[in-house]
Order: sequence, then structure tokens, then C-alpha cells
Amino acid sequence: MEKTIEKLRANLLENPAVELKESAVWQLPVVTYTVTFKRVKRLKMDILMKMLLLAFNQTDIRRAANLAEMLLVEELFIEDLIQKMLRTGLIQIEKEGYKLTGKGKSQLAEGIVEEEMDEEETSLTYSPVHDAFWPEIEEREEREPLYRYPSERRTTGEQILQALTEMDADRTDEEFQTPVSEVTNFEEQSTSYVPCLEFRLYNKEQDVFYARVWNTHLEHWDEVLEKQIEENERLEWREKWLPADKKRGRL
Amino acid sequence: MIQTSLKTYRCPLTLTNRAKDKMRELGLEERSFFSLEASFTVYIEKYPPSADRLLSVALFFDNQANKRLAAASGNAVIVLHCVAEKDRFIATNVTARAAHTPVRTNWRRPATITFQETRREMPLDLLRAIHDMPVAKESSDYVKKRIASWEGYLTIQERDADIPDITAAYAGMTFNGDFSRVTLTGCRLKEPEWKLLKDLSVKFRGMDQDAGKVLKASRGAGTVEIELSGPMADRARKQQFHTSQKEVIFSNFATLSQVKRLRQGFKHLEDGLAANPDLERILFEKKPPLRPPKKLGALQFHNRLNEFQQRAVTGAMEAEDLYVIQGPPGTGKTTVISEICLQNARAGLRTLVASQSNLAVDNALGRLLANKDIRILRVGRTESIEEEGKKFIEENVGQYWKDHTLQEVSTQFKARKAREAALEAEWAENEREQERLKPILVETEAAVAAKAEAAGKYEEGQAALQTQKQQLRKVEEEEQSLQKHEEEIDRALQPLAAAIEQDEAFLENEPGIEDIERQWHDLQKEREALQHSVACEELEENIGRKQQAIQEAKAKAEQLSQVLERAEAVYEKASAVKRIDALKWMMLEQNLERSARVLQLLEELDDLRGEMDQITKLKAYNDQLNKAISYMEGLLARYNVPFAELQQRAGRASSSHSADEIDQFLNGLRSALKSQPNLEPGRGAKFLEGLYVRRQSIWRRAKRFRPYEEYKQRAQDAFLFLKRNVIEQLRQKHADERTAYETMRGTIEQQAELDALQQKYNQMVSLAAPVPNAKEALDQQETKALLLEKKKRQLEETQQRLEESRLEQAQKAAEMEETAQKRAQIEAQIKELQNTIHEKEKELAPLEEILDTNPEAEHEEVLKQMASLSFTHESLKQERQRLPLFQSIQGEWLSLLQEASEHDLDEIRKLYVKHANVIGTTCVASARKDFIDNYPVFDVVIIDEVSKATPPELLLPMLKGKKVILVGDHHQLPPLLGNDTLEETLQELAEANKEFAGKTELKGLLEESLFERLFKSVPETNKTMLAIQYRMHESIMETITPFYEREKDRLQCGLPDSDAARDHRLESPLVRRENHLLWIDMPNEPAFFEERMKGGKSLYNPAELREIGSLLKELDEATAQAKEAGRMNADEKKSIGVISFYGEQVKKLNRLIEQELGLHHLTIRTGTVDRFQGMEMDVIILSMVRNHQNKHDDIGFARDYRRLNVALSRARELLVLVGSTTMFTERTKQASTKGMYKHVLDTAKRQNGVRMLEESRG
Repeated sequence: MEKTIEKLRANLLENPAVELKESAVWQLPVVTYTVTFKRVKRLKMDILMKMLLLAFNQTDIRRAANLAEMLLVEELFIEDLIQKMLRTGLIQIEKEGYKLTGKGKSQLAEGIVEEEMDEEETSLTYSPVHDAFWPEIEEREEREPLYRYPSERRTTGEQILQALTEMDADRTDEEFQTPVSEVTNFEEQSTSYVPCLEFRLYNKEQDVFYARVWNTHLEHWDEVLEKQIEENERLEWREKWLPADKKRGRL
Repeated sequence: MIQTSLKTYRCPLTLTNRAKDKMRELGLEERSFFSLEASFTVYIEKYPPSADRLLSVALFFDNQANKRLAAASGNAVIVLHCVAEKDRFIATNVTARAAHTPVRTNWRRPATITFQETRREMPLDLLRAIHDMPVAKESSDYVKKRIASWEGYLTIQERDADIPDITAAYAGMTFNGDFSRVTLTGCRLKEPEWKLLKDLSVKFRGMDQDAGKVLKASRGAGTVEIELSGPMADRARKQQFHTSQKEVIFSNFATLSQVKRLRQGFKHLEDGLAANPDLERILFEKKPPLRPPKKLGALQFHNRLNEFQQRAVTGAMEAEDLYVIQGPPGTGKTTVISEICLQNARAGLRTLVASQSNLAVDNALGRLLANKDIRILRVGRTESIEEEGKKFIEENVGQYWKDHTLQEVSTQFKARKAREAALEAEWAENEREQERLKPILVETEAAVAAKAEAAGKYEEGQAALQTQKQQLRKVEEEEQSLQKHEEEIDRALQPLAAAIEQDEAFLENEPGIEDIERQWHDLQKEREALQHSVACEELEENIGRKQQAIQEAKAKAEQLSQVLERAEAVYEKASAVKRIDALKWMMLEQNLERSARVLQLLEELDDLRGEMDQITKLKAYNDQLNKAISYMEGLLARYNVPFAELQQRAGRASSSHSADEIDQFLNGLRSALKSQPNLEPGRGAKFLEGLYVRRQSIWRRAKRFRPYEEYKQRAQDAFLFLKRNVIEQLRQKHADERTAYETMRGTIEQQAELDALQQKYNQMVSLAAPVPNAKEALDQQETKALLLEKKKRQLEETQQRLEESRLEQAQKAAEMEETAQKRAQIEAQIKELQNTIHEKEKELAPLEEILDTNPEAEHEEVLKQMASLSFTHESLKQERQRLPLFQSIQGEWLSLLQEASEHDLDEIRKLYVKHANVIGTTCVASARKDFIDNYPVFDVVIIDEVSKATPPELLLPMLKGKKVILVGDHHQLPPLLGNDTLEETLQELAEANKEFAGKTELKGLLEESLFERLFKSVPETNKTMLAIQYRMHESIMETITPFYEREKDRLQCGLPDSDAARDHRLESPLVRRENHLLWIDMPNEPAFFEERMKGGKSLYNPAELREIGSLLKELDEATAQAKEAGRMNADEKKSIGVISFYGEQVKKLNRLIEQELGLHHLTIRTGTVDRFQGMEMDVIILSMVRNHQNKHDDIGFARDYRRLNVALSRARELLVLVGSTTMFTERTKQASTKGMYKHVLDTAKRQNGVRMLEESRG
């Protein structure tokens, strides 16, 4: 830790105009949730095509325009897909309108029918201050003082579902997709603490006070925390560290 | 680029040996080549005409149309260079060009040709078409020449273009507060390199990506400040920016590729590759050759548009090639663009929305109407696209489409669900209503029938009534005419009676006719006696006169007889005259008239006499000389003198000799002979020769004359003639005198007549003695007689008239009687008729009441209601049928959409991209190769913020549009180059290089941009100014109206109630609720003056900084109060823009706001005026900076009215100017500048918006 502080400090002070006024170490509480959720498995089929097949099954449609009106979708798109489905033999034109072929029927069935998969479980790390999910964190005891502007925010099932979906982004499968369909349960498991290194700096050339906060978990200068601190304290710092006669710009 | 089905021409073709060789070299076999296709699509380019060739062309084979040829040539473009003759093409050369060479250009003409070997006729219309075609080279030369005026822009951008990459070592790096910039310290660069660094892109050795670009290089400090790109800033935040090598590479690649694209635009225009074949002329001609717009009729608009916006959209849709829209601040340009895009989409057209900056493109796209017909695609580098444009980039359009469709469907779904119950209610209501109306319908029908019957009766009655009335009218007329007649008779009788009375009175007072007749007879007798006396008197007078005449005639006759005797003598004498002089004398004596002929004769006689005298004289000299000669010959005979020779010599002489000279000579000879009788032969011969000479001379002179006798004869003739003339005259005179004498004699012979008269007189006197003064008396008697006659006539007339009058009086009286009787009859008739009519009318009155009711309208109304109900019924029925189906399908569709994953949308994304019809990108990006490949041509290209782009930038998207729509405002700022204004750049450039080529053109373009020129030169049908603004409170707008005064329409405020719509809701010591425009006046004193950065150019103003700081605190406080008072929501923030003409001031403002103010209720953005163009905020504070008393200095950038216009027009609710009014309205140099700031000040004054600094801060 000391080594990190020293390295960061040196880096910050590389600019001779910058003075380090104060530094601090504290911890940011983050929450780990245990989440259980379900996936379904279904054939990859784009939704508009699926919808068209469903519509042809339900009613007599002869012209793309009719469907365009019902689905509020560009007629061109529907026309395109109808042609494609005719080519691939999913549908055929009959007296009353477009009808599904046997092949079409079976594909539609596969596209609709979702095979429920076994429940899965994972844990997610959530920072209330950032309102964001973070990579998993190893548990750590509270040792240092806590961050002075904590947040009471709690996450929701919807947020978790979205986070899980986003994490799925790189799951690829040629034929089937297995989206998370439901978050069945989530529980606050524990609170961990991320140590953060705060530097309060003054650039005399530009007459500017600013904060730098190193987030040791994410391993970057944490903009959210810096902004929050600056917004709350910058004016005080000026009072505190600038002798009265230098406060030229003060009102 | 016309691609229609073309007529196929059959053209004979022969190849020269060279061409054949070339063909083989290219690996093509002649025979098989021309049979590759049945016909070839070629593009014909005409070469400049050369002296020996008629028509020289190149045939470019189109690989897209000629598939087999393309395969055979390996996609290389084959070009046949030909001479076009009457009977064939002769190919003189064959070449192949690279596959990507454009074949279809505006300078070439497409044709489909089947080549034949046999020589026959070439198709005449093809030859003619080639003949009429412009020469390709000339067309591109035209473009080259014109586009040269834009070179200056490229020169500016190219000035550092050929910088090779610069590699430099550095010692350390420091990041700024938000990691957006890094400063390299201890940079080691060569001296000249420092200057070149600005705007170069930066790459750190050991990193794969560009880090950003150079903002500032300071040689003195050895530092380079770099603006980092987004990903690089993230990297810096993670402390992953360190590289082992500490080496950085500056390169100009980005600028270079940009300039390259701009140049390529020039080239494309030169090569005729513009989508609109007239583009170059539209751009460069003084009067752009625009095609007339085609009328489309009334359009259906999907946005709410004001009249100007409607005009702009309609105009843009109707224009064929160019439409220009001027949009002053806040006038809804984007709405217009949005509407045009939608109209285009509906019309099946593809639109490119381009602008100079990414921000402007994203702004325009972001505000387009979300409509399923518009499929927007944003093309460009993802990292430079703003939030608003991001949803339209390819990877996001699937999501965008889903969101939009989901929203639409769920809105409809919900609406329909609500509709379900309402539908049933409506259905029931409809049926109830129909039931209710049925009996009403029956009732109204009956009423209508009753009315019809009444109408029939009424009509009959009316007809009868009409007949009666007509009769009554006739009778009444008759009565009236009788009455009139009576009056007339009465009127006639009155004057008649009066006349009778008068005549009777007259006759009583006058004597009778018999008396008068008697008087007249007496008078007649007297008159006869008097007439006799008068006759006697006249006869006497006549006799006297005659006597006297006879006396006079006798005396005259005596006189004349003497004259006659004398004349007789003269006549005798004249006949005897023989000499002319005598004749002349006589003429004089008798005073005879000399006629022209006589004068001529006299003259002729004088001449003849002269001639004759001459001849006589010559003859005398001849005799004398002859005598002398014969004497001298005799004398010299013995000396053997050669006479003949002498004579001959004398004959050749031509001297002339006067008479005196001859006399002298002869005298000389005589005296010589006298003194020396034996003359020495030499001298003698000389004399003799002299004699010969003189004789010769005489002869020569004599030769001129005619023979003497002839003259004599002529003289005699003339004389005789003259004499005859004289005699004739004399005879005439004589005859006249005799006639006079005869007359006298006649008079004398009247004596007998006289005697007879005397006798008659005597007789008359004996009959009655003449009364003296008879003539006068007679006249009196005549008058009396006339009076008597007149009187008689008067009496007779009066008597007759009286008789007539009496007769007439009697007649009239009878007539009167008759008329009165008739009238009495008629009056009775009238009374009867009136009674009948009255009865009839009474009968009709109740029918009229029935007719006054209007059961038809009611019936009609009921019918209409029934019809509408049944129509509604039908549509409700359909809806009831359809609703469940729609509901079920849309329900399914909704759930599908809701759970759609990325994978599901993939297909949609492809469809969307394929059918995208509104593409957005920046001007320069529209020339990227991949973009050109994907979208070679657009039906319509809309360019937004045109005035901010340079002409070369504008050209790039323009090249792609069949139709171009330009949107801009030349009263706002012109293009920026990098961070500098064009003026600054130009100034810098002019300083560095005095001979900078494009300077004049650039200056011209600075004064009048391409947009302005086009806006001014296109006809009214192709342009519109949007004149209604919706951004600013009316009071703020007033400050900029003068900038648009010269336009056709005045700038107006479209807010129906500015105070309500633009209420800033703030109350503070400085700002009152009703204030919308404030000018905080800084004193023009040293304590408030501008300052200059050490070693820098940019200015700042510390006093204004302080003032703005306190103003912002005040506004923050006021916002807090507004929230407390409930005028604003608790979580609302006021958006405030703090802007300045000077970058340094902006920097300082930024620091002040961030570091020292701590404002909680405001959202603040800062920037230079130039950067703020296109943005709007609730409140704008303008720091004007300039304040000094330096006589040689002015107000810098603030002078440009366009900059002021932009600065004043950013605020919606409140605009605060902070600066010295004295500086800007009095000290500034140019009158026009003074004027424009004065207008702002006056406007502020009128609105009680001027605050002295003392007043504001105490």
C-alpha cells in the first residue's frame, strides 16, 4: 500500500506547479449480492420473422401493408422478410393469403417454445455510491475510516437482470440463445471495503484545487469520487490553504 | 449519369494495326472481343478537335453493363480511342485503365452499340449527338479555372501539410484535472519544429493508438500540451499511460488526409462526377442555371410549421436542383430539415444530412421526428459522435428501432384497450340513437307531404290572384290615362279662351278694312304722278350727258388725225432706211420697245462689224507686206538669197505680231532702205525673213476668220431682220392710233340718237309738268303704302285666327264631356276588382303559414343523422370485429419486442441499414472511400450550418446530391479553421507570407460567403428566410433585428406570449422578473481595463471576471429563492451560458466557476462566442472584455456584426452583457460598429436594463 501511495504521489507531483496539500486513506463500502436466476433456451430467430409467422398463423394476410399497419413496422421490412421466407420455404401463398408450410410450422414451434434451464447462482458486487456493478471482490475487513459521503442506495431486481444480460454479451452460440429470463432471488451477502487513496492538490500556476482518488479495486483514478469530494469541499480548501491576501479572485 | 434504356446503334468499326497490336498486348482477341456481347454499353468522351481529324472520341466500356467483357478484361476498363467518320469508327488505339476508373461522368454520353465489320453508314443521330456534345477537356478546364478561387482554403490547410513526422523525447507528463489533457515536459525538439506542432496528432512510442492532438506548444517552457481522445483519457485515469521509451511522435496525417479529401472533391468536380450534372455551373455562374421548380400542390405536413417553414419545405420539395434556406437564430431550421427528410422518405427518396461538425449533424438527426417511415443512419467514427447521434449508428439502430416500435405499439395497444369499453358504449349509443330517430323520421316525412299539398293549393290561388291583380293594374292604368287626358284638355282650353278675348279686343279698337283700302288707292294716284316727274328728270340728265360726250369726242378726233399723219411719215421713212445707225436712231426717236431678240440682233451686228474691220485691217497689212516682200525679193534676187528656205523657216515660226509692231518693222525697213538703198544682202535677207514671219503671222490670224463676204451677208440678214422688226412695231403703233380715232368718230355719230331723246322729253313735259323734288316725295309715299298694306294683313289674320279658336274651343268642350263619362265607368270597375282581390288574399293566408314552416330541413337533418349513424355503425362493427385480432397480434408483438435480445434484433438491424433513407455524416466524412462505395448518390443532400463550412468542405456532400438543400445563416459566424477564425488565420498567413496566393479571393469569400452569394443570386422560387424565431424572449430578439433588416421579411417573434413562455422566474437586486435584457456597464477607467497575458495574444478582463462571479452567486441565490417560493421545481437547475469574445477570458471564467463559486442551482457552460453558435441556454452572460483608452486600438473581434449576432441570440430568457458601454458605443472607431452596439444599449435602456457598476455592487 505504502509503495502504491508513494508511486502515485511521485506521479502527481511530477508537475512542479502542483502542491500536495493533504492526503488520506479510507474505505468505500461495497455490497456483495447472491443472485439466483433462470435462463431459457430457444432457437435463434429474429423477432420480426417470428411475429410474421405468428400473424400468418392467426389470420388471413394477403398484403404486407396490412401487417405493417398492425405491427407499426415499415412495409419494406415486412416485404423483405416475406420474400425471404418464401425463398426459404417457410411460407407459401394460398387463396386466403400467406400460410405456413410444414417447415415453417416446425421452425416457429422451435422459436417459440422455450426450454427452461436449471437455476443458476452467482454473486455480484455493487457500489451504492457509483450505482454500478463491479467485478467480484474478495472480502476485506473494515480497517480504515469509511468514505465520508456514503450512499444508502440499494439495487433492484431489474438492475440485476440487466447487469446479468450485459455480462452475457459475449456468450455466443450458433443456433440457440439462452437469455436470462428471470432473477429468482437476490440477497445481500456481505459488505466489503475498497481502500481508496485520496490526494488533495493545488496547482499554483492555474490557481486550481482538485482531488485525486485512487480506487484500488478498479485500479484507476475514480472520477465519481473525485467529483463528489470536489463539489463538497473545494471552497473550504481554498479558505483553508490560501492566505487571505492571495484570494484575489474571491468575492 | 442517366441510366435509361438506350437505343442500340449499329456502328461499323475497323481497327488500325496499332490498335490490333495493342489489343493483343492486352490479351484480348479482336474477333472474339467484339462478339463478347450482343451490344456494348459505352460512354463516349469527346476529344478536343484537331486540325486533321473531324471527330475524335474515346469509347469507355462500362464493366457493370458489359459483364462478359468485364470478365474477359479482368475488370479493367477498356478504352477504344476512335475517329468517328461518316461510314465507321476507326479505332486508332486501345488502352486499359484500372478497374476503379469512373466510366460514367457528366462529360460523357452513354450509348449502346453493336459493332459491325462491314462498312456502311454510321447512324446519323449518333454522329450528330457526338458532334453536339461538349468536349470533355473544355468542361473540366472550366471547372479548373473557376475552382482555382477556392485554392486559398486548401493553401491554408496545406500550409503545414508537408511536415514529416517529428519524433521527440520528453522528460515527464502531467495530466489536468479531468484527464482530458496531458502536458509533456522537458520536450526536446529542434528549433523550427516547435512552431509546427499545433494541431498535429500525437502518438506515444509503444502505444498502438493515437493519443490526441497538440493544443499548445511552448518552446520557452519546453512543454507540449495535448488534448487526449476519450479512450486515452480513460487509460490515463487507470495510470496505464506510461511507456518505457518516453518518446512521442507528432504527425500531420489527419490534416493531410482531410486536405486530400478536399482536393479529391475538386478533382471529382473537374472529372464530371457530380451527381447533378449542372453542379459546377450552379456553384460558379453569377446566375446559377436552375431548372424551374415543379409544382407539387399542397403538401401534407407532419410537423407544425409556420408559414415560412411551410414555404421552405414546399420550396425544397419542389426545387429540382438547389434550394437555399436562411435560418436566423431559433427559427426552427431543424424542424424544417426534419420535415423535408420525412417528405423525402414518403416520396421514396434517400436523403443525406451533412454538416461541417459532428455536433451539428447529431443535433439535426436528434431532432428528426421519430417516425417509422424515416430510417436514420449515422455514419462516422463512433468516438466523435455525440450522444444524440449515437442511437443512429449502425450497431445501435436495432435497439433504436426496437425502442421506437415498442413505444408506438404499446401506445396503440393501450389506447385500444381503453377503446374496447368505449367502443361498446358507442355501439349501444349508436343503436339507441338510431331507434330514437326512426319515429322522428316518420313525423317529418308527414310534415313534408302536408307542406307539398298546401304548396299546390297556394300556387293555384296565387295564379288566380295574379290574374285579378294584373287586370286591376290594367284598369287603373286606363283610369290614370283618362285623368291625364282630361287635364290635358283643361290645360289647352285656358290659353285658348285668353287668345280669343285678346283678339276680339284688338279688332274692336282698329278701323275696318274698307277704310284702309280707300286710303291705299288715294296714295296710289299720288305715287303715279310723282313717278312721271322722276322719269322726266332722268331723261333730261341723260340728254345732257350725251351732249357733253359728243363734244369731247370731236376734240379728240381732231388731235388723233394729226398724230396719224405724223405716223404715216415715220413709217415711210423707216421703210426707206438702209443703214443700221439710222435705224437705231429711229428706234430711239420713236421710243420703240427693244425686245430680247432686237437686243441680240444689235449685238450680233456690232460683232460682225468688228470682225469685218479686222479682216479689212489684216488685208491692208497683207497687201503692205506683200508689197514690201516683192520689193525686197526683187532687191535681193541678185544675191542669190534662198527665198524658199527663208520662207520655210518663217513658216515654222509661231510668233505673233501686233499691228503696231508690224508698222514699226516696216518703218524700220523703210528707214533702213532710205538711209542705205543698197542694202547689204545678209541684213536684207533678215528683213525679208522678218517680213515672211509677219506675213505668216497675218495669215495665221486671217485663217481664224471666215470669208469677208460671209460676214457681210450675215450682217445684211441681221439688218433686214431688225428693220422688219422695227417696221412691224411702227405698224402696230399706227394701227392702235387709228383704232382710237375710229372710236372717237363713232361717238360723234351719236347725234341722231340725242335728237330723238330730246323729242321724247318734250313730249313728256307737255303731258304733265314735272313736280319738283319728286323723288323724295315718292319715297315717302311708298313707305306709307307699305304700312297700310301691313295693317290690312294684320287685321285679316286676326279675324281668321279668332274664327279658328272659337271652333277649337267648342270641340274641346265636347271631348271633355266624353272623357269624364268614361272615367266614371272605370272607377266602378276598379272598386269591384279590389274587393275580389281582398277576398282571395284572405283565403290564401292560412296556406302561407303552412308554407313558412321548414319540415324539409328537419327531414334532411334527420336523414343525415341516420346516414352518419349507420356509417358509424358500420365502422364500429368493423372495429369490433378487428379489435380483438389487433389486440391479440399486437399483444404478442409487444411481448416479443419486450424480451427481444441483441441477437433477435440483428436481422432487423440489417434490414434497417439496407433501407436507411436518411443518412447523417459530416461534410468531410462524406468523401471517405467506404462511404462513397456504400452511398454513391443521394436524391437529396441537405447541408446544415452551411455558413460555418468552407466551400471545399461543402463541395464534398454537394457532389453526391441530385438536389442540394443548403441551410444556414450568413449573418452568423463564418467557418473556423482549427481553433482560429478565418480572419485570424488569414492575418497570420499574410504576415508569414506576403505573397500568399489566394489572399484576394479569400478576402472576398470572407466578406461574402458561398452561402450568401447563392442566397442572393438564386430566384425567389429557390430560397426562403425563416423569419419567425421561437427561442428568445421578444425583448432579447429586438437586439438582433437590425441584422436582418435588409432581408425580404422582418425577423418576428413566434412566441404568443413572451413573458409567459420565457419567464426566468428570478428576482434579485440586479435582475427583476420583467428584465430580459441587461447591460452591466463597466466604467471606462484603468481599474476596469482589459489585460494581456504575459507573452500571449489573448486578452482578459479581471474586473469583468469579478463582476460575473458575483452575478453568478446572485443568480444562484435567486434560483434558490425561486425554488422556495415554488416558482421552480426543487430539483430544477437554471442553465446558464457564460460566453466571451476572448478565449483567455473563457479559460479564466471556467476556473473561477469551478474553483471559487460553488454554485448549486445552476448548470453552467462556458465557451467563446464562436463555439456557442448553434447552442441555446436559459440565461446568457456575455463578458465583452475590451475596455481601454488606447487611441490606436479598437475592439478587435467584437467588431464583426456576425459575432455580435451570435452572442446576442443564445439566450432564451435572460441576456446579460457585462462590459463598458463607453468603450463599445463611443470609443470604438467605425461608425457602423458604434451604431450596432448603440442599438443594443438603446434597447436595454428602453427596457430599463442598464445597470451602472456602482449601482450594481455599491
